[in-house]
Amino acid sequence: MFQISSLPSIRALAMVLRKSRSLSIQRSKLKPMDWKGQKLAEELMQILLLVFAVVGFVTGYVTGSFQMMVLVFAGGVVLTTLVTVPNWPFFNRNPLKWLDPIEAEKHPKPQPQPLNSKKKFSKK
Amino acid sequence: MHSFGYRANALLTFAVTILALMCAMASVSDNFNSPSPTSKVQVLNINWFQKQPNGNDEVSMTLNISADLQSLFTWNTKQVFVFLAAEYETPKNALNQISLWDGIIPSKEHAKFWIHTSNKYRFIDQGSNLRGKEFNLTLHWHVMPKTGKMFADKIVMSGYRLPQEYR
Amino acid sequence: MGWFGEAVDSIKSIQIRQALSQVVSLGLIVTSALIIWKGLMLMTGSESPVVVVLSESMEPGFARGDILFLHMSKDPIRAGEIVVYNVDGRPIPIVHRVIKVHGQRDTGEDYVLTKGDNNHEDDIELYAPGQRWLQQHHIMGRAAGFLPYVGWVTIIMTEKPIIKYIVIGALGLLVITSKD
Repeated sequence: MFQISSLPSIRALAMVLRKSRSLSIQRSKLKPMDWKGQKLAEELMQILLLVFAVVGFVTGYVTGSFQMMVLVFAGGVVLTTLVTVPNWPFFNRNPLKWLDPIEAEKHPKPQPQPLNSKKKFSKK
Repeated sequence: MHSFGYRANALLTFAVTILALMCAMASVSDNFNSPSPTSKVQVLNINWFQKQPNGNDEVSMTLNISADLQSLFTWNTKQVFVFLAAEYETPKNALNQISLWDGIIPSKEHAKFWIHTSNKYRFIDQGSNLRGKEFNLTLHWHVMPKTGKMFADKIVMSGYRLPQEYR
Repeated sequence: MGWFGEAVDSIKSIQIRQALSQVVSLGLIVTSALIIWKGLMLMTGSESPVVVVLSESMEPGFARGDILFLHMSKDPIRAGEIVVYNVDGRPIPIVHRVIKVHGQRDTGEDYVLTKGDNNHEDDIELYAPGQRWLQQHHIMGRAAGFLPYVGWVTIIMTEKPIIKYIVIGALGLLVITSKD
């Protein structure tokens, strides 16, 4: 369930996102992750995979079945993929605050250049 | 920048690396297995013993092979390849090994076996040295793992002798 | 604000630098792969430290698509070892088990007969015409370790070369379009 908010900052965010090329194009309504979310997703992925590897190895060794180990790990890979790869909302708890369009007009745009993703903004 | 594709790629690479590590660890765990196999072979009968037209001796025999190789199996074992070789020396050759019979043991349950067979492969010498020859019968096995290092070992049974005259 | 002016001026140089650094990193990848391969060759003492199993003649132990790690040493060849050998006139090496050994006393040469576990007959048919034994110099290595399924990539790329071109084309495209 996505929260539909009427805050103007969300509308501005949507406008800038549509213009920006550096963020990936999501077909679904999922918003991209924020910085903290990206870090969380990466750490979560590594920890989950390691945990499933250990659990798989121990399960396989104890049951004497190599197949068990592979199956447990494969299940773990699928689960980790579902949890860390899509842009779930809980990865976007600290959304980036983009400038309001009105504010952006006060600061004139530079000459068109291909690297507009590297534009610095005054508010963080 | 993070994106769907980037995360999927990172996950896949990490998962494959971890899988490789797990396989390596499984192989290492095989080293902790201390097997205690046993075997016994009887030469029941020398079927015939001739000199071939090309000058090489050949002998055919019937064997009774019994062995217990259950302790060789671990969770990482795919199969055990077992073969019985006759080993002897001659003036010309320091060592001769002739495989007389081989078999594949697919699982632990099949590893305790008893078999009555004539030699699967022809016992032919390089020359005519077999009359009265003393030889060893060595049971060799090759543990083939599901991943990783293969182990091979053997049990040497000595004291067998071929007849003095052709039959 | 002066940052924008600098950025405009340095556009062209950034493009060239980027392109150059991409070429260098591609070169690094290729050379490090080569270093690893040559290093493996040194470590295992074999011309071809890793081979892919192509036939079913060693089933059920080795199936098509498995890869074998080879090791070579000057030790005499003994029965039971799984060896990879080349026959004169045949381009593809064969992976089979040694079933007979005659080790000559004076020359120290080993005369070896091989057979695939899953084959009914020994390998005499596969040797060069008139050849009845293999010797040390025919043998490229002994199989010491094994990984299942990983070799399918090589088999697919060899048997359907179109896939090889697609993969290389896609990789090239990725390198060019990536920003770093």
